[in-house]
Amino acid sequence: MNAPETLAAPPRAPWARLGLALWRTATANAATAIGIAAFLAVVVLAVGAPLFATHDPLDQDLLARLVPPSPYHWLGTDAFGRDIWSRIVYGARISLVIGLVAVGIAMVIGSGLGILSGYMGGWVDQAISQATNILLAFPSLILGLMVVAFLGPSVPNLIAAISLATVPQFIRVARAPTIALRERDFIQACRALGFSPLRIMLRHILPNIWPEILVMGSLWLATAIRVEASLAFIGLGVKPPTPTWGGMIREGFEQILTSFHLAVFPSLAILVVVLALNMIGDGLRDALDPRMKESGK
Amino acid sequence: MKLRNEGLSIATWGGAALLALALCTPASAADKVLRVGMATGDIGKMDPHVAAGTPEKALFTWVFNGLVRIRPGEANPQFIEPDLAESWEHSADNLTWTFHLRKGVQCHGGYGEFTAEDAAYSLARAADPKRSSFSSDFKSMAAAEAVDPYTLKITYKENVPSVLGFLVNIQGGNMVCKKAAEEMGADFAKRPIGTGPFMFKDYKPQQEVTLVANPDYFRGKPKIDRIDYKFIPAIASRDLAFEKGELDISYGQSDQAWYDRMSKLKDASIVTTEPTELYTVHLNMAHKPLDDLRVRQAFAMAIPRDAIVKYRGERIARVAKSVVPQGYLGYSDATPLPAYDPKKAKALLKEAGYPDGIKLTVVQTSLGIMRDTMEVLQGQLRKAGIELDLQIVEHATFHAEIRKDKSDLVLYAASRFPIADIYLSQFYDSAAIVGTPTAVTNFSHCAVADAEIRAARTETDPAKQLADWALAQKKIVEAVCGVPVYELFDAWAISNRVKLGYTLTGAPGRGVPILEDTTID
Repeated sequence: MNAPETLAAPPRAPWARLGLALWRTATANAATAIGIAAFLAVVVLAVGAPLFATHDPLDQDLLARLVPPSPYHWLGTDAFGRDIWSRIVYGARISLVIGLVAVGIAMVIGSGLGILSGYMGGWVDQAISQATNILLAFPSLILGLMVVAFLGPSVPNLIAAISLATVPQFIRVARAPTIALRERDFIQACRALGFSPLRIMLRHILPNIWPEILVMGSLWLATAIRVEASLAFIGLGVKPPTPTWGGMIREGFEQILTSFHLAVFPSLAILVVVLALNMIGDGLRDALDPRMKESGK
Repeated sequence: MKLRNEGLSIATWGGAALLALALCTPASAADKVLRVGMATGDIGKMDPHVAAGTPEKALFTWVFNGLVRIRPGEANPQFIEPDLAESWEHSADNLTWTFHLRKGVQCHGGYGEFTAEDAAYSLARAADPKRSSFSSDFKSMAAAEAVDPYTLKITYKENVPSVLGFLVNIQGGNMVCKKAAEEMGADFAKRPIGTGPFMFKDYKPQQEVTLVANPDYFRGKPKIDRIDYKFIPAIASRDLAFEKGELDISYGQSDQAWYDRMSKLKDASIVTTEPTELYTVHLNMAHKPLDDLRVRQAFAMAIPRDAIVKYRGERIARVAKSVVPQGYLGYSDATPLPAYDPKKAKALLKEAGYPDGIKLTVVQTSLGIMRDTMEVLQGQLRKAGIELDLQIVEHATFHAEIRKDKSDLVLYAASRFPIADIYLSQFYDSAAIVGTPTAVTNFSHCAVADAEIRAARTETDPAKQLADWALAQKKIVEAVCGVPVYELFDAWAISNRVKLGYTLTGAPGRGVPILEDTTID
């Protein structure tokens, strides 16, 4: 019940607050700094994939298959003679696009529903909360699996599946502080002034809970990338020959006893991104959590 | 003190009694148990007239007999020998065949003696499209009737290129026991009853099937007491289990890297077996742009067969040379397949009005080796401007979808009884076009060699028959109904503890034959 203390007045610039928190935690916490650096490096690789890839990621060289790492093929080649480094670099695009878009959609829908649920209360709150509970009963991978199995594997369907699995988390994160904020004086004042519920929710409640939602977003981005890789691993990922990290692990798994590098390198890529996002999320949470701030002082 | 001594005495005698009991039970350590690992997550219907997958076929090898069989370890029909039939003769016109059955052959599970009535029932069942996946193999059969308990007469409407070929213990040639099949109905596929050396005992879904030795087997009780047939879909898991001694026979991976790695094992033999599966890309000529011969020729020229065989492994695969697999009666490679020439392929596409290439939609199974092959083809065809949009579906859906004529092309791997007629009739006769009432597996809508295929089927002059089959293959190759890519052997890892009792080079039933003489140290 400490939250109201931090929400005494609506902050004017949530982005600035988040940026400041990020900067403070990065300078004070080495793990967060490493996480930010690693994630930025992956983003740069993904954006500049054509520059960083040494080969066409789809180009097969059937006579140079399962080649171990060498100066020509930095991370070796896969069972089709495709360059693993180039496929990892291009695979980052798919992982990041699916993760970011899916979490972005979940964030918008989940936050909206969470605020609506918390602010309106009554049957609206009941309906949204019960639906959330139903969705939360399924592990995110199982929910994603059901959706992709039903709709078929494609980038839009994967995004839809991961979004659906992630939405309940954002509903919960947005709903709880909204209930607390609803009774604050400045919100009561807004009501007295005749502001519409929509305006109150968008202009006065959302800015107050925005940083917490972004923290949750960074943590769930890691989960989204993991879920996408898991779906690809069991053959429900993006269609071949598009490189995806999960798909590469699946293909490499068949050769794990003879050419372990096929599965190890894309696994390391996932490990780095997930670890980096968790480090960032943990750092942000610490920076924005007043209790952590107090104990830190 | 006395009480304590009595207690010790009781414990000692009790322990001794338990030990004796353990040593005397049938499941003692002395049991010879053979553990076989198969590449599947589960087994399908265990009805030999229905199931067509390798995991089921391998099981049928141990449970069922045919009227005849191919000598264990061989795949060539020249080695056909008696099985349930001791001898046979046929009329001068080849239309009436009489088989003399063994006496005293017992069906599993106390279903009584196997007689000519069971054999006649079995053949009628195999010929019935409602109860059999192999009914087209028996479409020329007019009747199968029991003359007496040990004499079976089969009459044919027309000459059949190899009557005995359809009566070996694979597919529709497997003999079931009438009483068991009728009594059990649909449950027969869950508890198969045959006459073979091993009897079905238990099935654990997604784990294993247990078979036990048939003590009444007509060739003598098997030396192996039990077969544990384990379902392990991942090759890495199967290999580890084999290397740790948890499997005695393991279905391998048709991949050179696997072959090379496993060949280094000290206490095992790595064996490749025939019949090969011919991997063919069937081009749907009813779909644009594949209705244009130039496009189909371009497709064929964009596939580097030699490189793909090197990719797959030269100990595991061989280059396809005709639309019929090598070694089949009637096989002819007199008309060479289009040579690899991606530049000419591009030029042909341009000439056909596709200067920017073409895009084809392909329904593709997620099954490992077939998916791998399609991904290789996808990568190679891309170099000639042919893009494949793969719709990956699970294997059962794949089979359903390709029979609805939904795919621009179909990659299909098949081995059949080694006679050209079966392959040509099932894949290239217009009567077999998918989506028609008489559909089998003609995915390309090929109809260029109907006359030759049908003439050869009933031709009684062997030389003319071979000439018809050769001409049919020439016409199909020239029309590019399909593009044969490679032929793949089955690969097995077999522990040196297993003594098969024969030399294994072929396994027409797709499973390693486990005979009455097979044993394990």
